[in-house]
Amino acid sequence: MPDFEEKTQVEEIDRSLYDFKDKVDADLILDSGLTRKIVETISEEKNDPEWMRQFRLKSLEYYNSLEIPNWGPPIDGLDMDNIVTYVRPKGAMHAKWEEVPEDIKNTFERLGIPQAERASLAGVGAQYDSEIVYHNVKKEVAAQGVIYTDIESALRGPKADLVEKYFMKAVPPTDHKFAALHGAVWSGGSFVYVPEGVSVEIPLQSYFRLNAPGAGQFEHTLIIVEKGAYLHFIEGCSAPKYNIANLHAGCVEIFVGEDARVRYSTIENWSKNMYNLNTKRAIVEKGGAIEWVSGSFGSHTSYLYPMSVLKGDDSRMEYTGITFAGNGQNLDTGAKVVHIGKNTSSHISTKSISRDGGISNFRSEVIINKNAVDSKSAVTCESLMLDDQSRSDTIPVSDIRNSRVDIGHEARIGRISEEAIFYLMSRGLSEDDAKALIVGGFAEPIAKELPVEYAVEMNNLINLEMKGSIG
Amino acid sequence: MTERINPIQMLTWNHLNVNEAGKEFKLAVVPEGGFGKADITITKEAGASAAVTYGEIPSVCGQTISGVGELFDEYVKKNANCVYSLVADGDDGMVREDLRLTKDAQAAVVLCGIHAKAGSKVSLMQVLRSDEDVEGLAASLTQIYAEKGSEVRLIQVSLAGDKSRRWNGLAIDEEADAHVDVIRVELGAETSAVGSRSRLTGDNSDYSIHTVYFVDGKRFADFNDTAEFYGKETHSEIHATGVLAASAHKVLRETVDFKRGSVHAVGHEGEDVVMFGDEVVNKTTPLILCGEEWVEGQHAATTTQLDERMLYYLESRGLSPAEAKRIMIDAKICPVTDLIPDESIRDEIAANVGRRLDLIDEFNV
Repeated sequence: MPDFEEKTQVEEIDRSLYDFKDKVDADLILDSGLTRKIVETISEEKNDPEWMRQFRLKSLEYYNSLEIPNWGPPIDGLDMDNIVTYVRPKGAMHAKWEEVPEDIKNTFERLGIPQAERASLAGVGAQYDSEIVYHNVKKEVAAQGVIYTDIESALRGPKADLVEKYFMKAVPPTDHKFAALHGAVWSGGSFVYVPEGVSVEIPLQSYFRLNAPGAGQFEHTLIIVEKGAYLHFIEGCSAPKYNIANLHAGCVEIFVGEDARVRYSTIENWSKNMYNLNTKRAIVEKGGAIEWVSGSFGSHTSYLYPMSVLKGDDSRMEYTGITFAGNGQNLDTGAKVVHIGKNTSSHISTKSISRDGGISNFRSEVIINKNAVDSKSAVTCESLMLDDQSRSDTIPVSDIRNSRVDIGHEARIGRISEEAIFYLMSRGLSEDDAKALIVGGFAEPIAKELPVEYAVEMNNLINLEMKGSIG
Repeated sequence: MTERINPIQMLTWNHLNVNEAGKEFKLAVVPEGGFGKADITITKEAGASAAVTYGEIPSVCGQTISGVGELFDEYVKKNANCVYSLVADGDDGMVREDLRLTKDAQAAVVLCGIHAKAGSKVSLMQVLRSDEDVEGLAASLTQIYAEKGSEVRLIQVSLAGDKSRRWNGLAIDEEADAHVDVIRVELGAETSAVGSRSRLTGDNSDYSIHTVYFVDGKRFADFNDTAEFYGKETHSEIHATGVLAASAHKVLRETVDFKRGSVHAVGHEGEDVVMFGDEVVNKTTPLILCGEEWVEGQHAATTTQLDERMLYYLESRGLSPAEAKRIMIDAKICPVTDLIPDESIRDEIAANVGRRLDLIDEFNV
């Protein structure tokens, strides 16, 4: 039996790979705070159509009337009066990396985005503070009728009617306070349209970088995948660390057509002064499928629960997620699913790791409606505690409204098996290496759901978080 | 003071309506002059050694707030029309509390304290019944203090009529090596708010609660069971097995809460539900809260239909569909109800379950 007094030692980790700052050299920085004037200025700057201007102003009304959530991690450190909602970087959006301003281009090169585009992506969008600075899609993909562009261009492009039809219909601004905030001040993000029957064989990626201190990023991603089509979309994000709060309140809306399939992968690595209050939702039609793969490593506080609405019969969802909460982090993550159609199925599988005083909460919601007969749902949640300074809480809810269902939920919490460490050490590994190997194995089911380059990035992040944190 | 009934241990999304029991469970207004006299009988079976005292509760009891909540506990303490306690200082023996809601005694607000002294054993069976058509109310708060090495066994059976309202709170404190086992059968009442909280402060203390429920008709049931682990090598099992039918509405919260320092604690919780009918609302919220690394917490819950292959097999052996289904339901609940030492109570439970199953249309198809 190990000594109860033996405790984990934790050291500060090196995040310099992501934690580098550019001098803020923006074209336009609005005043901090949130007022009607600021919302109108954003709308004017972005040359919104009238319906969008009205939408923003209505969302501001909702924002002012909605309460801050009373159930999640504290967000007292977030003062909207100190958040700048719009920072426009220098220069217009470009389709060639060479044309992107030097300092911004250097940032994305350090993050490996242009290299990834060349090696393994069908298209890339890169957002710097409030605006997209680079967007490109491979010619052969565009030739299939796939549209991948910044959402502002889409608002005025040939699919403008689709944007108006779908924008914030899956996540209405009345949904919660930060959805309303998003509706009022959104800026940047991507629009993806995949026509019927088209399979985008290699992924598209959007990468979001927030450089300005005290700023918010409110990008909107709208994905429409028509009947029988397929898309893998990857989202990455990072920011340098400042001593003041930054805010990310993005929104992702995915409309999955009949028999279509969408995989949405995220490696979230915001800096540890970031409040990440992001909303993601998919509406899935008959026979369609949404697959979420999510790695949450960064941010000071996260509220992140991708939601799937299984509207059509025989539709399905999978959520595979990992959360790694370290010192000073309170990451509240999980997933939601609503079964509406018949014979729908959902599978939520999560892992969480807490260390060095970090708090990791798993929260889920499974709703089976009255007409969703013959539906199935399985939720599994495993949590690993690496020391007694940390916390890990599991808060799942199921709400079942018909009897012809099979619903299962399993949760497990514990620490690294001493027997496994002992075995690995008996094979010649040091204790640190043994623990790192076990944590890597714990995360492996998530890594294998990602393209290899991103699985490598995720493993690097785990190693970064683990470095010096165990002993 | 929280004014909520059956408050959840950690809040979640408000739209799910699981953070506390709904308005259906609001405490009854106290009539002018109080609730009058309760129809309650306390009897000691042969060999029972615990001392029964009326009108007072041992001072060690009630250090913990019950699972139903602080508002409820204060309500019972203030308005009880029966207060009694058991003090055990020796070996086992069953004490029975028989409570009946009648036309002349429609309300019972009962405060019960159990003080199990070091190394003692005590058993209490609380049975609630009501006369047919009585719109009664029963609010019971049982506070247990289990000293070092003591064993407390509590059996609670509600056979209240479907027009009655019920609140049943349980608050437990355990010293080292103490064991508290609870068997709870909730079959009746129009609304039932039931909640337990056990504080496992002593090393190697142990708490188990096994619940069987049957909620049918337009009835509401709300459960809220929590084990808080403070001591080292503490252990808890919280399990529920239930049948929901017709327009039943059920919320079940189970929580294992590992406090820092509860090294090598083990907490398991689970629920197994069978549903009949498409008007049922079945909500389950199993929480694992963890502030200590050296623990094992597990939860498993299933909501299923009866296994069609098993039904087919039983029918192929000559059983009618209803008989086959009855056997499968019995297989789920009997492992718990068979632990009740009184055969007549077991028979009463079986008859009650049988009567309710007969009312389910699809059960008889």
